[in-house]
This record gives sequence, structure tokens and C-alpha cells, in this order.
Amino acid sequence: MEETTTKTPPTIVHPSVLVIEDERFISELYTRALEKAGYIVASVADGEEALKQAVNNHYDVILLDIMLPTMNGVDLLYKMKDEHVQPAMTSKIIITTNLDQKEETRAKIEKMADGYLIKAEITPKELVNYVGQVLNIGY
Amino acid sequence: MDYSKKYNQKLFTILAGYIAFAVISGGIIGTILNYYLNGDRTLQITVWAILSGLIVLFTAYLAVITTSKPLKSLSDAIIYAGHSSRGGSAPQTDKLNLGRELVTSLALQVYDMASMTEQSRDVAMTSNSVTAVKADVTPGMQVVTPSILDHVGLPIFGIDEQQKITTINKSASEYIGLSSEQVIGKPFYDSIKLAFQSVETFEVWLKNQQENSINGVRLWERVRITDPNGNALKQFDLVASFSKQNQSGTETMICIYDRTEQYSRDDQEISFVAMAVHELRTPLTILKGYVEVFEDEVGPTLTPELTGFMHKMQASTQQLTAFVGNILNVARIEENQLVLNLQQHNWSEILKTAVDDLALRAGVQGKHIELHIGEGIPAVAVDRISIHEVINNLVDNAIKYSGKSDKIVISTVLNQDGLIETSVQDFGIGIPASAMPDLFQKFYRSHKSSIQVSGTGLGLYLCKSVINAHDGNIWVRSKEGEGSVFTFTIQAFDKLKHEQTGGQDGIMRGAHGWIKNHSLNRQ
Repeated sequence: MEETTTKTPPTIVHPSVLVIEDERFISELYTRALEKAGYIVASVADGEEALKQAVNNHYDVILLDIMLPTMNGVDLLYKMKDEHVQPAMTSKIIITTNLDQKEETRAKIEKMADGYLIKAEITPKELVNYVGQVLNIGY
Repeated sequence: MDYSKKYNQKLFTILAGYIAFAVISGGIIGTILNYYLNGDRTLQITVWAILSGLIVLFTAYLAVITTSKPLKSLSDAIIYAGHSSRGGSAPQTDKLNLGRELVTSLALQVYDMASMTEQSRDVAMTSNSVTAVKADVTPGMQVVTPSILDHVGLPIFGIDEQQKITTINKSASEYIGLSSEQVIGKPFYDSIKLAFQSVETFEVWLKNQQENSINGVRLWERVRITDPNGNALKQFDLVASFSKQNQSGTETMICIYDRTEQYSRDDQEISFVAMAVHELRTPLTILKGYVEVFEDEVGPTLTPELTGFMHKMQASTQQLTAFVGNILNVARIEENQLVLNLQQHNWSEILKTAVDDLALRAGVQGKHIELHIGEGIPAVAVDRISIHEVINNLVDNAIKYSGKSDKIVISTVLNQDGLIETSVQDFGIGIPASAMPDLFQKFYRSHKSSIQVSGTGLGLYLCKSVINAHDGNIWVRSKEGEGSVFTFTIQAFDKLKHEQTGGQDGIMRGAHGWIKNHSLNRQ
């Protein structure tokens, strides 16, 4: 709650990332790669827990899987991007999924999120680069 | 009964009567005067003439009154039926003695018509489910429609120029859960909160229609009514029909075809292919990730042999990724879901990137790729991801079928037709002539090759679909034992750019298997 007044600072020394991923090995890989690149990383493996975390803490970036237990990623995305949620979330949300979405659905999700990645098509290092791009910090 | 003949006969009789009256009475008066004035012929003739003239004028006056009376009566009837003197009493046609049948029958018809519209107007006003707009609207037009609309099982709304609801049928008020009294005269957008998927929402379209059109019809699919949280309560297709300043006062009719059940099922449904692909991709992601960790962290300390093993692992995961991509794309083609977005690209850069990406895969198989780029290749119109997959597939095939030879050559030239022609050549086992005709068909594998190398026969089918969607062609030349050359053409961007609609959209194309599709597949 202490984050309510702080907007994303112009330069982020150690940006924070929340990895929402139920596949333990993938979560481990991403956490490791991001930590090596200087990010502060938290991870969570189910939807409802993820929402709690995301609301109660500030993260600069949230990596969001779609197929999740208890609440799926699309619902989570809607909830997190909902204007009615106070305080409004300023986190950048990157969808990381292996699910093949219908063109329409994908376009809609992409529009709401700040990034969209197919996990199988990138390596952890490429993910780190992408996160950097989304945060607009050089690589 | 021929009323007009009867009218003529009667008119003739009356006029003849008047004239006879004028002549006879003129004669009688003249004779009497002559008797009293006693032989003064000049005075006698003068008086006679004056009297005759007066009597003729009077007769003419009577004739005019008689003949115009039924016409006046008829015109009264019409004016009465019209809305301008509503409330006045009906003219008395039974007091006419001339042309009564003719005029009466016409007048009665007019009254009948007027009272019919009056009745239906009353029905529309008092009906529970349907209310017509009460404002000064021409009666007779609007009115009949609502009661008919009640019989239509689909929800229907009518709105006026200001987007206020003028008409709502029974189904519609049930559908939105509001009675007609609650919504008639209210702004449409306040009563029903619609959410559209397309950029051109109903509101945008209607504004555009009002400014630019007389008539128009549009269909929207997957329209939603949402609750305040944005959750879909209902999903439907919506048809709106616009008719500028329609006399009925209802300018736009809106019809809803409910699809809530089907669309929410569609939204939740994940196809078998999507599910299978998801399951394949998860271990692939993990494999790819850990191989990278190994390469980064222990790579420098490995012996050349172990480095080779690592590269083979990497190449295999790449291959598997590509294969999963093929499965997905073929499934998309089958469902008409593969949409390509052709944009302007530098072709040699695309080829260089593709070759870089493929170098590892070729390398672990002991092959190397040569790239020859011809002179004056213009910017091309391609969907980068799909064309990359085409090159991947052709080179993967070349790697697979190149046997003992170690060279794969990619070359590109601008051909005489102004097309960009690119070929992938191997020097391997070649393709038997018998297999050539079926090569680009789905799941086709040559009998011979299937024994020697594995594959699914998806790759070339996909290549053909994608190239066709680029307005290009793909073909093969091959000789057994000498190798194969797969060649495809794509278009220069300048040739297709006129198809580009609106800014940076690119050119949208659908890939549909064998059928070349020129129609724009816009979302």
C-alpha cells in the first residue's frame, strides 16, 4: 500500500518483476535469468495468489502466463488493467504463454498488455532483453 | 353501378329543367308585361330581354351550385381524413341530391381509410408491449409496424434521428429486461450498453451514415452487452438498417440475433491442436532455457566434442519449435485463421537473418549455407514471420535430403516479370519424377524418402499456402541423385502497395490452402 503515491520513477535501479508461472522449471529459469540481469524477482504459481501479490506490492514488470490454476491469465489481466481498481496498477504486463490463441483473442489480449511472448520461441536471455525493452532501459 | 353515367344523366336532366324553367318563365312574364304595356314593342322587347338575362344568370348560378356541391363534399371528406382538420365532423353526404351515389361512395371510402388508420393508431398507443412515438408523426405509416414486430421472435429496436428509442418489440424488451414504457423516448445508448469488437462501432457507423448516406445496412458479429465490470452478459450479432429521415420517425432499425451460448462456448474452447501444441511447447521452453544456461555458464570450458553435442541439442530444440509452428500454421490454414500482414521489407536482410538462424541447424548436420543475392532487388511485400517459416522449411528440407553433399545454396534474383525469385538448392538425393505432382499436398511423403528420412509432409503444403497468399508461386526442379531446387516468387512492395488500406495497416491476406485468396481478410 505504501506504493500508492509513487509513480514509476524515471530511472529504475533495480526494477522488480513478478513472474506468474505455474510451470516450476520455467519459473525457475526466468527467475534465474532476470536475477542475473539485476532484477528483483518474485514468483507465484497460481492466479488468485498472483492477484493478491500484484495488488499488495508494486512491480515494474509482471510476466503473466495464461493457463494458470484458480484464475486464468486473461481474467487476471482484465482485473489488473481494470480502471476501477484502486490504486491503479502501473506495472507493465507481459503475457508469456505457450497457448495458441485465436487471432481475435490474441489481438485483444495484446492490446491490453504491454507485451506478448510465446515462451517456446524465446530463450531466457531473450526474455530478459524483451523486459528491458518494455521498461525502456537500454540493452 | 356506373355512378358517373348516372351523374351525367342527372346533371343533364337538372340543367334541362333549369333552362326550360328560364325559357317558360321568361315567356310568361313577357306576355303579361306585353298585355299591360299595350303594344309599345320597343319597351316590351327591352323588358323581356332584361328579365330573360336575369333569369339565365340565376339559372346558371343554380347549375354551378348544384354541380360543385358534391365536389365540395368530396374535398371536405379528404380534408377531414387528412390530419389537418382532425376532430371536425363528417360532411352530410345524404343531403346531396346530385351525384349522391358517386360522391357518397368516394367520400365513404375516404372516411373508411381515415378511420382505419385511426384505429391502428389507437391500438399502437394502448398496446402494452408496443408504443409508437406520440410526437407529431404522420399516422398510418409508423403504426402498423410495431404490432407486426411483436410477432418476430428477434429483439428489434427502432430509433430516431436523435438516437432516441421510438419502437421496441416484445422480444427486445424481454431481452434487455426493460418494459417499453421505460425505454421509449429514452436515448438508445443509455438504455443498452453495447460493446463492439470492431473499431467502427454502431455509434461511429450511424454518425457516418447520417452524414453521408440515405440508406445503409451493417452487420456486427460478437457484439456484447456488458455489466459495469465489463463482463459480457449477452453476446449477439447485430444488424442495423438506416433510412435517412424516414417519414415514420424511426430512422434506424436494429435487430439482434442472440448468440450468447455459442460465443461463450467458442471463447472457452481450446482446440485439440492448440492443447497439443501447448503441451509440446512447455518442455520445449524448458529444454531451450536450460541449454542456454549450460552454454553460457559451462560453454567456454567444454571440449569441442561436447560443444558439438550442445549445438546438436540446440539445433534439435529449434527444429522441434519449427515443427510445432508448422502444425499450428497448418491448423490455422484449415480453419481459415492464418492471416498474413504483408509489409515492406528489405529482402536481403530477411534472407541474411534466416540464414543466421539456420546456420546452427545446418552446422550440426555438417552442412553450410551459401547466400547469393542478385542485383537490384527492390523492397518486397511479405509477412515477415510467415516468409521466415517458408525459408526455414525449404532449408530444413534441403538439409534433410542433401545426403552426403555439404552445400546448400540460397540465391535470389529479380526476374524478367519484375518478381523476386528465390531458390533453395541442395545437391542430394533428389525427388523421383513420380512424386513431383503431389509434392505440395498436405501429408504427402514420397515412398522412397519416407524410408530414408523422417518428416510429416506439412512443410511444403505450408510453403505453398503462404507463398500463394503473397501472390507468388512455388515450384521445384529435381533430378534423382543430383538434388533439388525449390524456387518461389514474391512481389515487389511497389506492386502491391495500392492494396494497402489506411496508414500502416499493411496488406492483409488470408492463407487458405490451395485456393489463392485475393480478398482482403480484414479483422
